[in-house]
Amino acid sequence: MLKKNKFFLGLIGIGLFLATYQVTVGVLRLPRFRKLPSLIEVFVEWVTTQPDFNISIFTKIYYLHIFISCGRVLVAFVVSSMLGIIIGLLMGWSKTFKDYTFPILEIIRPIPVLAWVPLANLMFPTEFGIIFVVSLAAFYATILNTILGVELIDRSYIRAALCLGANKWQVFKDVIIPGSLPYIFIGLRIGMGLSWVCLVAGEMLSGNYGIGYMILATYSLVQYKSIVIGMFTLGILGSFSFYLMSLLGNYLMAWKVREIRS
Amino acid sequence: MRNKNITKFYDVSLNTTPIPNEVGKLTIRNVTKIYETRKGNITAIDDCSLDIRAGELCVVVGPSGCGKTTLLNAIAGFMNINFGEIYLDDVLICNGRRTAPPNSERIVVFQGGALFPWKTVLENVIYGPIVQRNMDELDAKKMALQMLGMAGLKGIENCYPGEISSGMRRRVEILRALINNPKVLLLDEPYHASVLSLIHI
Repeated sequence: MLKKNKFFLGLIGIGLFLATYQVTVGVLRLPRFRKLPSLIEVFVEWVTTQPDFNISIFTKIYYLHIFISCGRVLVAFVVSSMLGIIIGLLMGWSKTFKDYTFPILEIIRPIPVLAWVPLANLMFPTEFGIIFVVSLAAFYATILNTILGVELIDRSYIRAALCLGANKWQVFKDVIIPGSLPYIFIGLRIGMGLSWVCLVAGEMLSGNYGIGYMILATYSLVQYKSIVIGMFTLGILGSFSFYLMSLLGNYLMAWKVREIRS
Repeated sequence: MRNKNITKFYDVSLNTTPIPNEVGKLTIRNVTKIYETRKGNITAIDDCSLDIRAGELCVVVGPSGCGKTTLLNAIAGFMNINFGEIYLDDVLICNGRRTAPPNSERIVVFQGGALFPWKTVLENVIYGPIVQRNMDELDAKKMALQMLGMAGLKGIENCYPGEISSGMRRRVEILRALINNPKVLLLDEPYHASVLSLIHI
C-alpha cells in the first residue's frame, strides 16, 4: 500500500513539474522562456514519424545516439567501479598501501574531470578519450566510499571472524567485502550520476555521436525541440540506470532490505 | 595516571567443580596493561594475577571502564600487554613481547554483539566449523540446527540477525562460539541483552 502510494505520489510530482513547464513556456509565454519550445511541441516532435529535425522515436539516428552514450557509460562505469572497488578495498584494508597511494589520489582528485579532456584526447584519440573522462568521475566516488566503507566496519566483526578461525583472506572475503557493500553502493550511485554528467560534457567537447553531442549539435542548428528531447532522454536513461543499480544493491544486500522491512 | 577503578576479580565458582583432564586452564600472572593517551598513561590492568581452572566458570566484576574488557581482549589475543604473562593450559599465549593471534581455542562473545548482519543465523552459527574445515557444511548445519532447537531458537535459522530480537541474537552468538568447542569461552557482559539468554544456553 505504502509502496503504491509512493509510486503515485512520484507520478503526481512529475506531472506537476511538467505542467509547470507547459504553463510557463507554452501558455504564459514568460519573457525568460520565450525561445524555449513548449512541452506539447517537444512531445509531438518526439513521437512523430516525420520530425522537423530528424530526432524522434522513429528515427534511427536517435537510437544511435542513445546506444553510443549508453555504451560509453556502461564501459566507463564498469571499468571505474571495478578499479575503484578493488583499490578502495585494498586501501581500506592495508594501512601501508593507503599511506603509499592516498596522497596521489588527494593530489589528482581536485583536478576537475573536464580538465582531463585535452589530455584524454591526446592519449586516446579514439572513443576511449571520452570513456577515460567518464571513468575518472565515477572512479573517485567509488574509491572514496569504498575506503570509508572498509574503515567504518565494526572491528568486532573482524575480531569475531579471527576468533572463529578465519584467516586473513577469509576475513577479507567474508567480512570486509560484505561489510563495506552499503558504502560501496553509495559510491556506485554517486559514480553513476557523475558518469552521466561527465559523459554529456565529454561528448560536447569531443565526439561525433551521443546524446551530449546531439544536444550541442542541435543547439548550433537552432533545433531547440531536439535539445529538450535530448535532455528528457538523458533523464529517463539516468533514472533507469539508478533503478538497475537499486535492484542490484537489493539483490546483493538482501540482509539490509529484510532488516529495514522488519 | 592510574585507573582508580581497577577491576576486582571474583572467582565465582557457582558450583562448577573443575573437571580433571579438561582443557582450558587459564593462568594470568602479573598482567599490566597501560594505554598511552594524549592526556597521559592510563593503567587499565594493574598487576593482575588469576588462576582459572579448566571447566571453571569465573566472573570478573567491576565498574564500567575498570579494564574487564581489556583483560578479556588480552586473553583473546586482540591486544598486547605491557607486563606479565598469560598461559592457556600452561602454554604461553601472551606476554609483554608477543601475543598469540586469536583463534578458535579462545572465542569471545562480544559486548555489543558481533553476529555478521549479512549472514543468516544458520550461516553465522556454522561459520567457525566451515572456515576451520572441521566439518562439512551438511554436518555443520545439522549440528547448528540441533543446537538452535535446544536453545529455543527453532525456526529463526534463515532470518538475518537484524530480523530477530537482541536476546535471540545474544543466544545465537553464544551458540556460534559453542559449536567450535573452544577451550575458553570469553563472555563480555553476558547479561547485556537478557538474563534468559544464558539460562537457555
